[in-house]
Amino acid sequence: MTAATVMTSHRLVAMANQIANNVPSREGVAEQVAHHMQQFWTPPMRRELQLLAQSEPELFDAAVLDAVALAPV
Amino acid sequence: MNSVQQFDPATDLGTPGVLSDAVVNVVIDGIEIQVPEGTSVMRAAAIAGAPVPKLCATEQLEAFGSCRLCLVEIEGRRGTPAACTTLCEPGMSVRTQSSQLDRLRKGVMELYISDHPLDCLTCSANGDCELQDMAGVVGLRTVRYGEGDNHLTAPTDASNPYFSFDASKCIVCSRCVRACDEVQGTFALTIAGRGFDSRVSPSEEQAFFDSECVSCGACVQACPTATLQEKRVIDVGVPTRQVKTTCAYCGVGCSFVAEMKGNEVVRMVPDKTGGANAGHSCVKGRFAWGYASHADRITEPMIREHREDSWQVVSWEQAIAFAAERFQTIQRVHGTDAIGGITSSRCTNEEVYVVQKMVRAAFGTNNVDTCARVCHSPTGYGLKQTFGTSAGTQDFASIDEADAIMVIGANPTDAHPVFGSRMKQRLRQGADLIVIDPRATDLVRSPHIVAKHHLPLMPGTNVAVLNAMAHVVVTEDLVADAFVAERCDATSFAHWKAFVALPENSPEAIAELAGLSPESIRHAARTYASAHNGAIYYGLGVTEHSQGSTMVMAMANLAMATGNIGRRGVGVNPLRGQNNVQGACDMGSFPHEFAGYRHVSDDSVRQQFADIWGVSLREDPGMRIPNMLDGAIAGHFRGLYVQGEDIAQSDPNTHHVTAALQAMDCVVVQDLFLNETAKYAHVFLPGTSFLEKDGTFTNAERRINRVRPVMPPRSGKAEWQVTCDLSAAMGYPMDYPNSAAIMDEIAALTPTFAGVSFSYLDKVGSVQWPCNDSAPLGTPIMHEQRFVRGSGQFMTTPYVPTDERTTRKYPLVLTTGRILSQYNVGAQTRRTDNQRWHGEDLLDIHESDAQLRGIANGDWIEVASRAGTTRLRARISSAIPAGVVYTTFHHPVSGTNVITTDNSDWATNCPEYKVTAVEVRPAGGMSP
Repeated sequence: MTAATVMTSHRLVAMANQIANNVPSREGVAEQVAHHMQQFWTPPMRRELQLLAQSEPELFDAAVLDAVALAPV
Repeated sequence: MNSVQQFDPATDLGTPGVLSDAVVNVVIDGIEIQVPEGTSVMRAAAIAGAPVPKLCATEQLEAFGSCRLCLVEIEGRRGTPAACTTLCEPGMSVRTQSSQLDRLRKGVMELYISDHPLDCLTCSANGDCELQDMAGVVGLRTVRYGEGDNHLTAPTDASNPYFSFDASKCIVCSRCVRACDEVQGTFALTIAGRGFDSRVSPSEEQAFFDSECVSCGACVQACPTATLQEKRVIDVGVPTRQVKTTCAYCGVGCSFVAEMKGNEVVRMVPDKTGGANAGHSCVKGRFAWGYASHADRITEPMIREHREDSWQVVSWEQAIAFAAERFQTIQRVHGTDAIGGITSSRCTNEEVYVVQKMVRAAFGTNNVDTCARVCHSPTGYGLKQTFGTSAGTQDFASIDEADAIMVIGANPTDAHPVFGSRMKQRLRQGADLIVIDPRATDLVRSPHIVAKHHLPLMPGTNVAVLNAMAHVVVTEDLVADAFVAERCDATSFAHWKAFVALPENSPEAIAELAGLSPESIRHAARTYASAHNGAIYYGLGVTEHSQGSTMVMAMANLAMATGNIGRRGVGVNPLRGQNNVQGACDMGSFPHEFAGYRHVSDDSVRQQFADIWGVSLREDPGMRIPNMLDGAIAGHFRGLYVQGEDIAQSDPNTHHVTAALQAMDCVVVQDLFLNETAKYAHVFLPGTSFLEKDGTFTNAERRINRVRPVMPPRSGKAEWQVTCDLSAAMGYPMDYPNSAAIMDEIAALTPTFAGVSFSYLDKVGSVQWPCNDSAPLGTPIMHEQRFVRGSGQFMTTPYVPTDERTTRKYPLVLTTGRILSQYNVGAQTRRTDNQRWHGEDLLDIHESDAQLRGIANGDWIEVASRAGTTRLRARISSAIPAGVVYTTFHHPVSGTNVITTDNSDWATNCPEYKVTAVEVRPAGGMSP
């Protein structure tokens, strides 16, 4: 993986964590994040996030890890 | 019996129309007519077909009664009152013609002409002069007065680049002064001196260019002689034909009459029948259109193998084939989704529609995005979540009934000047003004206007402040309970109410964070919530934040909670940046939705498009602009078609953008000029200026206006034709006989546009969507009976601070904005004389911050952020609070976006232009 790929991958994680921090309700955060990614993210972006969730889970907000499990790609 | 509606609205009826349910019957020269109560005799006479001679009167201005030319006789009254200042009364019988009136009017004209140059044949206004017309109307044949004191040698002020003031031709009718006051609201002009010495004076007897004049052109428009005259008319003569069209600058979308001589524009005159501008204009739309014929225009297609090579001029066929072959090669090697496109808000609905169609149907991907990504994408998201549709709620005229106007993160007098003037008119009538903005914008204190509340909050704290205002509303019993119960979702309201009522959302809790006093927040909330009609207007100071979408929802919540939705005088109103931002979004430019804001995953919607387009379509969202740029750097996104947007200058973190562009195998730029992005392009396809386009723009109030070509395309092709050619070369022909046929397809596929066609627009002038069987005349006010989504949805809006924090290394917050004379990246306005007002971007810095760093006014300074460094000159300003610095982004040399960061709105990725932590230090010179 190139440095550029790592950088953009980490941006995906940052975006996902930011969504988790900002979705309107504090109830069902994972579901809201999953829905948001379904609505606005490309399947390759969701796939890449899934891979990162497996390889570097420590970068993730817990709700995003749950969302990744909920969001089909 | 005649009525007002039967008359041509383009005729100047002398005094403004009156809105009144009561009517009066009067007789004018034996003709009985009925007019609204409060109508002047002058207007009634004009309606009756008996226009009274006039000089100081125009229906754009209140009656003044100074010229004494409009004298009439009224049965049963003594004397000869002025028709302009005399109101119709029931049963009044008026004579507009008599031998006595003829004699009086001729005497008045004789006095005027005795002090006026008799050079009509060589005067620049010959044939377009009301003084000349009136001399003819009253039958003036001789002037009995010999030589005496006069103003015939009075000097000409030619300091303004666009118009001159020839004092020798001035009749001191005050129309220019009143236009500046009543219409524009700048109060830059006055009548200096008394009696014979009376003269028009810009500011305190300054030259026009040096005065407070904002060059809106209202005075030129109002002048009945050649005194205030466009220099173009002086140079080339009066126009011989005219075409109605729409301005291509900001989201107000003013209607103009392009006055032409052959294929040359002589002047652009604001159209008083224009639904958005009602005859007013600003310096950009009125005068700054010369870029369309600037020598920098590229009018031939060009290609180059490598971006280091020189451009090679080629035929259209060669350019299209080259671009198609490159895109197809990329897709063969890297996959279908390795290319995409960006649509432009400077292009027409029809041009935008075919680009997104090409991307979805010919490229076979949903990788299409638009420049609204970097401005109002949070508006679309936030208003759809709460109200159900991605657009503002009101027409501009609605503000005439607002009692409290809350302006958040917007500077309408600079960025939306014609609407700004309308807002100022309402404020001068007494509406309360609340300004929520770090800067003390012009609105905060301008002639006859003082904001009741100015909340100079710290950038990045919008949501905290709106939540605190909502806290005041729910804890001080200011909720419009009946409205909420009838119109809104009860469960979401209950959640929201409980959330904002939390102590952590009180003004006292967030005051220090926001840099405000709790009392100021409480007072502002009470003013808005207790007004009969409270209206919110907002701009990019709301959207371009990491919580831009949250803030839009917070404003929608506040409007619903206070019942300020669904009637005139209220609403939540985005002031759109570019002329067709609304339209570009409507046309399906976002990667997740088709035209009409319908998600690509909706099977029935997708099938409708697939059926008419004759191709299967993808159900998954495509990439947004930042995703494309990241993808390019990662190596999987390789080709981009950019329609009329200069992402290398306008998008944040310039280093990141240019690195992405450099990583692509094919960049196609369709534009007027070789812009910053074109430096990284392989194909340049010449675009068309608005003067060459045939289509429609949709402005910030959802008004669809015709854009009519006043001259043929300089490149020989309309932009939509070029897009269709590329699409065909990519294997998907799009055959439209003309742009009207594109709108017909849009109407067939977009429920909110179902009733729209070029022929309908030509008939009615303009229409606000939704325009369909349910609303054949359009929809000026949204959500009147019910919200588009059914019940209004309250969304809880927790405040989350931005990741962009100030530190010891970067202790100041940079925020950015626009100035009146320039427009966005300046590609258009920098190629006009508007440069004389703003030739460079400056960094505004508070005196205390400047002193701390040893910076004086005009010093070169270096601005450093985590993203980059640039250099600007400093301007010490009291308009911004300590700790905040401000600049514009109109000049590429400034590199403002070199220092803005990748941070963006959580929901839409709209860049966080408004918050960048920086340090400022003295520097020795400018950027290399």
